[in-house]
Amino acid sequence: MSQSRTLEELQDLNLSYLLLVQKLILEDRETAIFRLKIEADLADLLANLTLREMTLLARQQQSVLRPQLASAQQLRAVFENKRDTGLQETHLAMLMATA
Amino acid sequence: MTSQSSTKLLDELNQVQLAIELIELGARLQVLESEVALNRGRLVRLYKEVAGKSPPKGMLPFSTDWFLTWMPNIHASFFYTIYDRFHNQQGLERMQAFIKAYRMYQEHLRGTGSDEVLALTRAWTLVRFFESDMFQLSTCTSCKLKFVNHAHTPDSDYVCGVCQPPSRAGKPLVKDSEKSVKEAQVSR
Repeated sequence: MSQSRTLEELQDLNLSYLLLVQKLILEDRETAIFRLKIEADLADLLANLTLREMTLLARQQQSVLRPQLASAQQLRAVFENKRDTGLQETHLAMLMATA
Repeated sequence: MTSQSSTKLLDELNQVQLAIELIELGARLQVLESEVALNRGRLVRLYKEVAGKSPPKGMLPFSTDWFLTWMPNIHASFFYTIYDRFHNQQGLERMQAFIKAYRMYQEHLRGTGSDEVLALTRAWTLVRFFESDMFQLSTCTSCKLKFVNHAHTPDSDYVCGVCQPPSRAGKPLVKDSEKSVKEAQVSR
């Protein structure tokens, strides 16, 4: 019971994500590709999906998202740096900007 | 109107658009003169209209050393990481990549409440220094990120300024007290 509720949450998240992706690409295609870390052809495909197609994709039992984080080792290097120079956020943003 | 003259008009419109964006982001006149294909008189007029003042006189900062000092190096490296991805990985034309990267840099400053370290003209100088091979990127052995460094510097054991800050580096005291005042206001 609770498992199906959680699955629904995942499917909701899928749909919200796909809708947000379309919005981002419409606003600024290049910056969206940067933020979303996706290939240009995938961006164009996602931007042109119909609502029906998006719903089909979203209703899968799997996530359409995948964490686009750096390696665990690199993330650890940023988080475990204990010298407070006020630059942790910039360091992390730099790590995230590295495709 | 022939199609040739309409292309010409469009080109000019694009150049005006580029100039406006650069001025809005804080470009000095010298940046416009080398990146925008409009004559100086028109650039000065555009500058006055967009910025609401005459362009400042004087030379551009021309020092590679500034980019190697502690805080500027981190901001410059962060900006260049973004620029490099737009330009070299996503294939955007350099000025388009530059403007988008600079906007993202500003967005980061706003989001984290940080002060601007790398003004647009500095960022542009940085790109030019890379284009003339005066800089290289050195990979930090700790965080594996790439940082701005003088060209031809041996860097096999390079460690960046965030992973290994100089001993006196830290948040300026003034900013700390501002922050604690802000926090005190929020918690009230």
